[in-house]
Amino acid sequence: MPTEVPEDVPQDCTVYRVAKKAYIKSGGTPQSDCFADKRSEDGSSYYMSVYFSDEMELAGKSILDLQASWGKEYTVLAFTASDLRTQGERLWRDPTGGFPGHGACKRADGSERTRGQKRNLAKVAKVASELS
Amino acid sequence: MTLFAGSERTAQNSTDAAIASADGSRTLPRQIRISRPGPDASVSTILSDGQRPPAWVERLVLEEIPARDDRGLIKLDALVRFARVCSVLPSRTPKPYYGVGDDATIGVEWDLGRFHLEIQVGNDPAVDAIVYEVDEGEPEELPLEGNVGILTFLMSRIVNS
Repeated sequence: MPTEVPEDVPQDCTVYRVAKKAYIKSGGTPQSDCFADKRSEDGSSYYMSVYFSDEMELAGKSILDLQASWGKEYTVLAFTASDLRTQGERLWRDPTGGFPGHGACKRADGSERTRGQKRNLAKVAKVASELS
Repeated sequence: MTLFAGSERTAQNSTDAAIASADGSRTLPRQIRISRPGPDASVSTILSDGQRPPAWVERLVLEEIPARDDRGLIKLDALVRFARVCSVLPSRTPKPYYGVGDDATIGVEWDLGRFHLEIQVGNDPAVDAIVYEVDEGEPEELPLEGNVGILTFLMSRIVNS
C-alpha cells in the first residue's frame, strides 16, 4: 500500500459526494440539487465538497465510515475523477482536518455550475455500491 | 405558518403563503401571497384569470421547500418567483422531486417516461433555468426568463402524451 497520495488526483480515483437520502429519487438516481457549490461560512471558499478514495484508503477509512461520519440521513454517491473532468470539473485536495480525503470540485473555469451541468453530474453519479 | 384565503392581513412571525381564490370561483383572480417578517415583509401576485395551479404547489411553497431549506438560504423573492413559475404549469402536472441546493437555489424535477424536465430558481435570477431532456440525451438548458411559455407548452405536451 502506498504511504502517500499524488497531489494530482488520478483519473481512476473514485470520488465520493455525500448527499441527503431525501434527494435520491425513487429509481435510485440523485436529484440535480445534490451537485451545488457551497460557500464556506467565512465566504473564503465556494465549491462542492467531495472525498477521494485513495486518501481514505490510506487512512484506513471506508465508505461506511464516511457515511457514518455524516449520519443516517445521508448516503454516498460515487464517480471517478475522469467522470468529473470529462464534465468540465476541476478537482483538488483540500484537507480540512475532519474526515480524511476531503477535496474540492468546481467548474474548471471557476464559474457557477448551471442546472444543466448539475444534471449531467446527476446522470453519471451512482449511489456507492457498498450502500445500494 | 399561516394559510390565508382571500385575506390581506399582514404577515405573521413565520413564512406565510397562500394560493387562494376568494370564493373558489374560476372567474375571480387567484392570489399568491408569500410573506415573511422583516424588511421584505410582503409580496402579492395576482394570477391570470382562470389560472389553476397544480394542487401540490401550495404545500410545496408553504411547507416542503422551507423544510428543506435548513440553512435558511432561500430569499423571499426567489420563493415568490418559484411559486409563480409552478403556478403556470398545467393543473394535471404531477408533483415533482424537489430540493434546495447549497448554492441557494430551489430545484424541482420530473422523470416522466421518455422525458426529464427541471426548473431551477435561485436568489440570483440569472441562474433561473429550465432543463429539458428526451431519452436520456444531452440536457437542453434555457434561461427561465422569457421562456415560461415554453415550459408550460412542454409540460402540457408531456402530461397529455
